[in-house]
Amino acid sequence: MTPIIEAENLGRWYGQVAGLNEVSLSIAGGITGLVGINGAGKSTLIKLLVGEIRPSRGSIRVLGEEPFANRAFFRKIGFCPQQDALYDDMTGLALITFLMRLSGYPRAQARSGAEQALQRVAMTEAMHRRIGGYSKGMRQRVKIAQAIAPQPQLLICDEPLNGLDSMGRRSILELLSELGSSGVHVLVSSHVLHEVENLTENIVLLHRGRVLAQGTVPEVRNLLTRFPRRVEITAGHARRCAEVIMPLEHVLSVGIVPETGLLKIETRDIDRFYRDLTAIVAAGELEIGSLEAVDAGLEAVFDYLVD
Amino acid sequence: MLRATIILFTFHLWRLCLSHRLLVCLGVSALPVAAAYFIKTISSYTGPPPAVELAWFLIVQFVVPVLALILGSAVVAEEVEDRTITYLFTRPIPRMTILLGRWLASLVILCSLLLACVLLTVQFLGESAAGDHEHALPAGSVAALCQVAVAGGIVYSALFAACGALVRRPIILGLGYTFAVEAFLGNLPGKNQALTIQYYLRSYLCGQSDAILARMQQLTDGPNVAMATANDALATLVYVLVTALVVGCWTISRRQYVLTS
Repeated sequence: MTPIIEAENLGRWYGQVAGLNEVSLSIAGGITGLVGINGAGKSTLIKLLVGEIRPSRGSIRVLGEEPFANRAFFRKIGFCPQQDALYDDMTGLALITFLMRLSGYPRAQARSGAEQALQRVAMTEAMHRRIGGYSKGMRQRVKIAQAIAPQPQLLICDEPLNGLDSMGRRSILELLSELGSSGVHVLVSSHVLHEVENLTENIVLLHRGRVLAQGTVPEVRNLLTRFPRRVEITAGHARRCAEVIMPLEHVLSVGIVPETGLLKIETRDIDRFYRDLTAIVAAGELEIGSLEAVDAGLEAVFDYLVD
Repeated sequence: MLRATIILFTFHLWRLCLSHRLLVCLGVSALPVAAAYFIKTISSYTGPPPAVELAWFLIVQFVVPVLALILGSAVVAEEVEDRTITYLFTRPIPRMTILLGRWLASLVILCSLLLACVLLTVQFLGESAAGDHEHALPAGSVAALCQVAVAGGIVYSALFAACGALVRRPIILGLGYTFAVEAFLGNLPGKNQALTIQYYLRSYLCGQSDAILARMQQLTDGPNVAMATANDALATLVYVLVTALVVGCWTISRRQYVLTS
């Protein structure tokens, strides 16, 4: 697949401070999460991606174009910025209609496009009210609506879940997921790792202005070979279970929590462990209640990487 | 480009009409009108009203640059400060249309207020603004004042709009320029006056008739500086206007506005 975003030795300095340093990456289509703690360089990268600023060094191409002040490029993208800034004296519908007109749509089409976008983010009822009276979640949805209204090829959202309650977050994640399924490329930045994980497996991990890792979460986790994989199992007979598992060549340790009978296993090859365990269970040697890979998630991966 | 400029013009004009900024502008432009009304009807002053002083010092030297500063400096800087410029920058329009569309909308308000200010001030002064006393407005000076106020407003606002594209706090720079350069340097004796826009506005005004020239020389206590001809003054004002717009458009097209989150 042709990459939609390509950056090479990208760097951006704010005076003496490096916002981004030596970043080289290539992002294919679909939904991609840009994750990292606050100050990792996510917003700087996004500002470069949407042409708000120019790189201090290196190059960046998005959808085959250089972003800065490139009108052809802005026909292809939708951008939902992080800042909670909108034209508070306007109604949601008037704002998006105005922005649609700036995107080149005739008046009637601009209005119907704005209505559709607002409907998509469940803002139809409030669209005739002034934005100044909207709740944080409604403002966030208007920001997303203005980004999706011109039907972009690529939607870039900078921290779209900030300030939303759990219901709001879920509805935005569902919307982004739906857009991804409909063929729109989506790039979402967030410092809340598990939320991005719920949306996509494709991630770019940023830390201190550099790319720590890129790929799917399991791929990145598998690269971290110096950290054994941890699995927790509940079984009817914990001691018997430990006796069966311990001799496996790739198993490094097995511990039992006496109170619960929970087995904590460390292995250096998770795939072989799953294969062997399946064979053991199929042979009737063990009965397993539950199995959980506790450090396969994005948060654990991120912690290991930062360590 | 024209389409985007018109859309931005309409949008900004509509928002300006509903803004607090307009109230401030109304307040500033009402000052000479209120002063004229006060002198004519309320105060115990019985002499002929100081029409020339009000028109020149209060309107041309104060109201025109201050109104232009309030409206012109906001053309780009307001969007940057409100962090809403992102929405405009990420649309397929030339960036310079943001400056042009918004500046033109500001001009509509600015020129309307300045014309109303001049006409209402003269109206309140009534017949005593004319005549042959030392404070009276010479014949034909109302039309000339209107032209000067509008020309000054256009040039100043373009200058401050460009300033707003260049720096983050244009109002501070603009206030410094208005009072330190235009008001102070513009009234100092000597050729340095020619470095100010006020000099060219005065030259244009004086070039309209000999009577106005004589009254202005009386007002500034003698012919301390040779005035430019009306045509030269107008050409210089147009030159400043075009330069300011080119600098403003170039800046907004090239500059990276780093907005805080």
